[in-house]
Amino acid sequence: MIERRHLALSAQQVDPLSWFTGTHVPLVFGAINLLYGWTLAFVAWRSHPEPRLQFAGVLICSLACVFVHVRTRPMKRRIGARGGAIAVSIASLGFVLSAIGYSGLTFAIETWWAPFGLGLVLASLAPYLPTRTLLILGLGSIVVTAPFAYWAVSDQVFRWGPVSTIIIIMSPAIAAVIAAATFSYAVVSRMLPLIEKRSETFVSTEGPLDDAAEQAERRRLAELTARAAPFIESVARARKVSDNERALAGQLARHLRDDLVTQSHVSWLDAVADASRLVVIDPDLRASKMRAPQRTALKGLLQAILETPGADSGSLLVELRAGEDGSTAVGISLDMELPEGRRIMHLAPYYLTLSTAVSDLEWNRDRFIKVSFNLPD
Amino acid sequence: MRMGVLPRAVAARVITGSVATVGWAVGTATILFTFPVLIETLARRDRLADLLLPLLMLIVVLAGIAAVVRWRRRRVVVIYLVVAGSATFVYETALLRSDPALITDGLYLLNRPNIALVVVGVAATTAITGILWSLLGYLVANAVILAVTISTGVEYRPGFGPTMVFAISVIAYLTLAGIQTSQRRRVPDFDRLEAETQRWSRGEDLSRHTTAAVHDTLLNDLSIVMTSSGELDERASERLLEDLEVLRGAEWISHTRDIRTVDVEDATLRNELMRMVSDFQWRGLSIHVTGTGSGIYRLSPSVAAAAVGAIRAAFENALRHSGAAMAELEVIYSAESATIMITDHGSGFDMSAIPADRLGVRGSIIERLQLVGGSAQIWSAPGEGTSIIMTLPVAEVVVPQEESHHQEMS
Repeated sequence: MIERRHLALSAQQVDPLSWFTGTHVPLVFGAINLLYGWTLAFVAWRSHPEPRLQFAGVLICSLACVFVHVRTRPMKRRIGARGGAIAVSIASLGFVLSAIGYSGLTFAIETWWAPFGLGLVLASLAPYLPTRTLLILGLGSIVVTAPFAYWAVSDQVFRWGPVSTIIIIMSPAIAAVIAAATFSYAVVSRMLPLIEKRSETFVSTEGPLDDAAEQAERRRLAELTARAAPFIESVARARKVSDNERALAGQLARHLRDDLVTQSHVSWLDAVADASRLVVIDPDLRASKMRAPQRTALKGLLQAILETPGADSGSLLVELRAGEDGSTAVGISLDMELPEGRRIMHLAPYYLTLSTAVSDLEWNRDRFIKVSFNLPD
Repeated sequence: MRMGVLPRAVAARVITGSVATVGWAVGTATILFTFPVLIETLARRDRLADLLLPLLMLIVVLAGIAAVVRWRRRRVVVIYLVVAGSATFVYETALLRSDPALITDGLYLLNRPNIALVVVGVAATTAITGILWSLLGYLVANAVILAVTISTGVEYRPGFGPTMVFAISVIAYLTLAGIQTSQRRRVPDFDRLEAETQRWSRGEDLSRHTTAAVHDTLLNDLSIVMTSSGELDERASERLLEDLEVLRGAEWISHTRDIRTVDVEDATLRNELMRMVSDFQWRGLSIHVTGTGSGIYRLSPSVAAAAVGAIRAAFENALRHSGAAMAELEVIYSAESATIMITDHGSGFDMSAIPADRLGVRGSIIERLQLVGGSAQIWSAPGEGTSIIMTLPVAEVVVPQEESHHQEMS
């Protein structure tokens, strides 16, 4: 049974971590197209009246792969249907140029590089677009290019009938659409149930506290009770309360209450800040409202930022503000000298993991790191 | 609640398996599109009388692909290669006997079933097995071509198609393997981060408990003193002292400790695992054992015993309920823990459908590991097989393994 949402999500959306280095896939496909297409164009150089059209067509198809590569780099917004349509349009242009170059020539359509090149561009989109979009774009490009290709070359094809000609011309592109759509659907439909139905009751969450945690808690208790406990003990043993002791009890109670309130407002983010030079602005105490996956993902990103070479950890600022709809807006900024490419590759896994736990995640590309996102209520 | 990110090993298995699914889809489409080409080509050559046998052979190949998709077993794919290879032989022989000229101007039509042989492999979970299945299909395709040449006496050139498809399969699997290797270096240990978050959450709970205890005892006691008329009766005095005892004891902070002893016989676990693998193979479940790392690690006897028991229970489940003929056991060590991953490609099950009072998996795997400081995570869904990841504490690193690139950078 095909579920609609399995058609509406891409492999990258379901598991972004698997694809942050996967942007090399379009480059590999582009290189294959360049190698295959230019080899065939070179071999047939003398028999072509316009051989440059084949070289240009191959180059344009490979550029479409480069476009997909650039648009699917880790910190970019998802390529989406529009980006996919641009890539497919560029590849279709290369295809049409090749068809124009072959019009009027007798050649073996079985080894025509252009349908293969179009197919490679369609296949390179497989991890980044949902099945539905892949089918629409793929079938759309076939519907547009097939009649043109048939019109350009069919007069010179004598071995095959019209049906066979159109099938042979378009079979690499059709196979690519089927392959891309199947891949996208297979990954999403298999991975989503595993993510959604992963065991929560079966996962072992209980475990002994470590020594450090126990000692820290005992230390905290000792600090809280350091002044009041000896006082209470002396009063209890004397069984008498003087006016001075009543006044002192009032002072101690006020201090103790303040300490307890302060302690109850200490969040996990403050603990991260204590261990670094991170500055936290959280007037609405939103950090404590974050769910465990959000905490883990944000903590991972903060640690990675602090460990990034060239980062001025003293300038790392995290600000949390409550929204009117109950959400929390989070902003992170940091001064950083590292070149963007290295910075992105270092932080991409953390950034992408954070994207699975929050909404409206944005990445600013200047020399500062600026990340902002919303935590749904 | 945990993060919506699968462990890399599980994600890699799903993605590589999906590439195999692509092979089945492309194989099916290739054969389906061959039908009109076959009919039109024979009609143009006035050979429609010879159509039936090649047509039937294409249907046999399609049925074979359907069987592979349905059962997804290694044995079924081997049978498919034999049956579809034979059907391809009959298909090509029949066409060449009908019109030998097809070898020069109809090669595209002739070698379509060969492509279906190359792309239809088993649901591979690693790049190397995917490549090996493609290679096997490619060899069968070439054997068929050789047999057709011998049988018909026509010099048969296989054409670009099967070789091209084989090359693309290899490149796809290698690219995937490259991505996954790069991922392993770059993706951080989110399990460790999750453990830190859980530890902090437990610490937060504890802090809340402490705050509440101080509030309910010391702060109330100070109020009693503030509102006292000057004398404290015996009951009030005793209450104050009892409250102080509660704070001094602070039992909610204490926890039990697991005292581990190191087994001097460090080959026990390995030998036990090998015996178990042999035992299950004899009972019908092939177990593929892999692992990474060059170090030598020692587990405490109690941890080793729990690991063996839990692994045995996992394989028993796979043998009895999954319908799979093969399972994989992967062992990965770090300085702190041993991770054991068991996967089968069987029927899987719906975790949410298991009643809460069923103790099978919970008792024999999860609680057994929890008792020795370990944990277990299970991923399964109907039709998608089962993956179990067990994590166990390492008692001693005898010989450390080389640090990964990612660890060096951080």
